[in-house]
Amino acid sequence: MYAALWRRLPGGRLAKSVSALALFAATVVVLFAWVFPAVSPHLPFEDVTVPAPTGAPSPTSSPVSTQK
Amino acid sequence: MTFRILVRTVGELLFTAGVLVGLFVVWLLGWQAHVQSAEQADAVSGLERSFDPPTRGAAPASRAPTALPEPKPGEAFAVLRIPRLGADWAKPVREGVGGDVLAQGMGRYPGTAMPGAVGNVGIAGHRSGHGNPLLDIDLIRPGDVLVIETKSAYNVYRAVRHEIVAPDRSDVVAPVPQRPGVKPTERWFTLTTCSPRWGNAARYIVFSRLETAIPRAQGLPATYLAAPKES
Repeated sequence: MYAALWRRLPGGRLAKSVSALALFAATVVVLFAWVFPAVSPHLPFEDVTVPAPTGAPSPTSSPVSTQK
Repeated sequence: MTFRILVRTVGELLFTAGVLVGLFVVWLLGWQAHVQSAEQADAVSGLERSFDPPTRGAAPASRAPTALPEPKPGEAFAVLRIPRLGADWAKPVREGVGGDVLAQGMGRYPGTAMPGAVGNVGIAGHRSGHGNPLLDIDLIRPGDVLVIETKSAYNVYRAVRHEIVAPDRSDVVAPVPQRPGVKPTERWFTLTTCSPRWGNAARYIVFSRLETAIPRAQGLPATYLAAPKES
């Protein structure tokens, strides 16, 4: 498939090389800016929490506001 | 002929997959870590500016640190410092533990205590990815200092112990850690992250207890932020 891409690029060897590099750079930009940020939240090491405590006090009844 | 094309295409696809994975590692450890570490450092300096500057010589208006209002979801309201992880290790603490919040630093479990209060402050942070803030959490030893700095006070906690627990153990952030339903009399701080590094099989938990809360106006004695001795 890369051979087919190479054949389709216009110009001589130099022009083809420049176009190929530009295509690769554009791919990296798309990956870094959109694809990888969308993928990374699904990775296992994103899980760093335990479930919120069941029957957690509501914010109004937190230990801060109860002056005891 | 078709067989050759098939083999070549499969080979090229495998090569592409390898390059993609390699680029992802570069993005995760280089790009994302750099960008988000810088953002978190900016958040810390912004918080420091928003907190009252220590007033030299002037007596603080109130002796005891005042109770803080509950922050809004996503709001940065504190700075966590752990000298064991580096003399300048400082991360913003925001309200909430969703992925979008934790990408920006530490997050407080909603409903847990506020820093310095009776009960238990539950805070979560990334160990791997997002700049690896808690990568070396396993270096924290009992007696190590953890400071949660807020608008009103430096809350100095000392690590008591650590535990590696199953991911569903919500009792670690109970008002009395691991004793849900018990009425708290002490001031605890529970820090949670993933375990092992780069995995999610368990959670690494550090339990700390408040040693002292120093009103912000008095400033934090430098000894608390000194690098701890090797152990």
